[in-house]
Amino acid sequence: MTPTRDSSAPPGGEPGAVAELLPMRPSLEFDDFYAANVRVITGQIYAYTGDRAEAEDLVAEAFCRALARWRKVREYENPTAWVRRVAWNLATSHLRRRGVVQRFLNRQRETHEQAPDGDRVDLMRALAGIGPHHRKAVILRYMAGLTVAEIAEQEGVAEATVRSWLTRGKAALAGRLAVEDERGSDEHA
Amino acid sequence: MSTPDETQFEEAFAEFAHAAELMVDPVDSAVIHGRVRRRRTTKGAMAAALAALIVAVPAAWWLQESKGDEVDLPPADETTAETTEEETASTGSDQPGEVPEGQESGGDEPVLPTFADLVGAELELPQFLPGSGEFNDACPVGPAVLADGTPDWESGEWSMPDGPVWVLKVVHTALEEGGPVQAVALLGCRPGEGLVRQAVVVAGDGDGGWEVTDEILVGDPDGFALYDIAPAATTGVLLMVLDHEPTGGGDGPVGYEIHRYRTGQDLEVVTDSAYLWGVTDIAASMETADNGDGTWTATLTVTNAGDHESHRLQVAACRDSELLDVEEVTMPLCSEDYAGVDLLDPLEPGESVTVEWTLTPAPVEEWSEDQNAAGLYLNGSVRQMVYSVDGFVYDYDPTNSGFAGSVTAEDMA
Repeated sequence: MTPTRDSSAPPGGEPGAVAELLPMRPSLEFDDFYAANVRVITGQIYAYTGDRAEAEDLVAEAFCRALARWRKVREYENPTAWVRRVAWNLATSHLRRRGVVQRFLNRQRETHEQAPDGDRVDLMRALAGIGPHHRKAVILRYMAGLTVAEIAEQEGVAEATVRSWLTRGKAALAGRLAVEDERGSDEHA
Repeated sequence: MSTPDETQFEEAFAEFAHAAELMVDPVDSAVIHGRVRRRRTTKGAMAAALAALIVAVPAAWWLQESKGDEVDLPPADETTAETTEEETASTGSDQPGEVPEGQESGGDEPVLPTFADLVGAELELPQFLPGSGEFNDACPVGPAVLADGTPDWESGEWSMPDGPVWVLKVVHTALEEGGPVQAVALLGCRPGEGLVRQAVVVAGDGDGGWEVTDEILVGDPDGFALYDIAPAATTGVLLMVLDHEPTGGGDGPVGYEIHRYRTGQDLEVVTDSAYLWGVTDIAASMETADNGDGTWTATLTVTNAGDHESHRLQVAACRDSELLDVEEVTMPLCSEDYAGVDLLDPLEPGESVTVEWTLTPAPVEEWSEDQNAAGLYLNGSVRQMVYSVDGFVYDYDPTNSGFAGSVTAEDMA
């Protein structure tokens, strides 16, 4: 089973079928919606940007936009997808405009904040080193548990494009993780 | 960690995602409520500042409008701040079933709807194409249920997903000297190829709903096409009227006039004196250059070729094939979608900005016969964010706002 990080996801079932956090009810209130989704989406954006504070800001902004038009958003078939898409678009713009990727890579060499340990560090570093499209596809697939079709819909591209991103992203990740592994072995030798 | 297979990927990401969720520290939802509330307050303060300016100061652009003065100073800072769609939308109430802002107070003060109040509202409207019979069937007006006519720029929306009758803009202005401030709504529908717009005065119906209290103008797309509205500096509402409804870049520059409407008076032509912030010509072009490493740089140049400052700009584009990868933005296939891929800041007259995208074409061997002949291309266009400000937004020469770039087999040789 593809692990799904959406909090209301049932323990079984197909990826994607469990991708959305809460079935939207007409009476769903914003605070419930926020509580159910904010950590999950922030975690994904954190993995994408590599900066926790920035991820928190970007996701907060996405939820502000949702609240500002809540009467409309709440009626959408999938409000979570709307917020996630806005958050990802904000993050993409943010990375592109401010060169965060490079700064992120630099920061990894002099980590200040408490970072995840062990394999998580490897994964974080490896993610930071692959292209943004590939990184986004891998995170949406394996962290958000979206299907290829759902990623394609969010990104506005063909499913074949997403498959290509995933294939290339996984290959790039695998290569980087293998390198990390070799370095680790050398250090312990 | 060894080179992972699929299962290892899943397990590693599951653990990683769990850790990431625990590490982040999102703000409480009360903070989100507070931020949105403050934005509404800011918007209200901006409107109040504008009203104060209108009453107290004969601003430069009022002089232009009323006396033909050629001075072309921008409005005061408070009025030049752009009103984003979400800010506009946020001026309404949040909770469904809640009486729209202002309506609960009762009394003799007129109740003015905001943009957000009218989204989803049911209104009895004039026909969009009076006398045109069944052509009006596409635009129900008895009543019309108004949809949000402002695309969600940040998420790349290019056109409005709902409809068929849209609320495009709401301005608050006094329509007669010494009279109360009233709400004028610009509404649109697309009964055929082009959009048809009308301007109506809307007020609370005293029962928690809204009603049209006056009809200002129903545009004629073939000869007197209402395009946009803006509050007049002193009294009335300004109506931008085009020679005909634009149908894209193919029909050349489309002329315009600006009329001032005041209750009980004839329309007054104020084209030469009205402040024309946002009425300008946006030009776009693209060049591609070989980087020598299998990638190409496409440089999009966007220029304000007109005489007035622009508003923010939205760039939309698509690519013709999956064989052409664009690194920096998510660009849909032209056969499937046409979406916004970037937002640009306002440009002064004569100012240009460039945007670069890295293109990676697949090897020529993978190209089809047509692609070998014509190359792999992307194309798009640039527009101002329409209906997003208390001023006009109009590109009077749409012929130069499109762009295209390509990599041909010859280039790849």
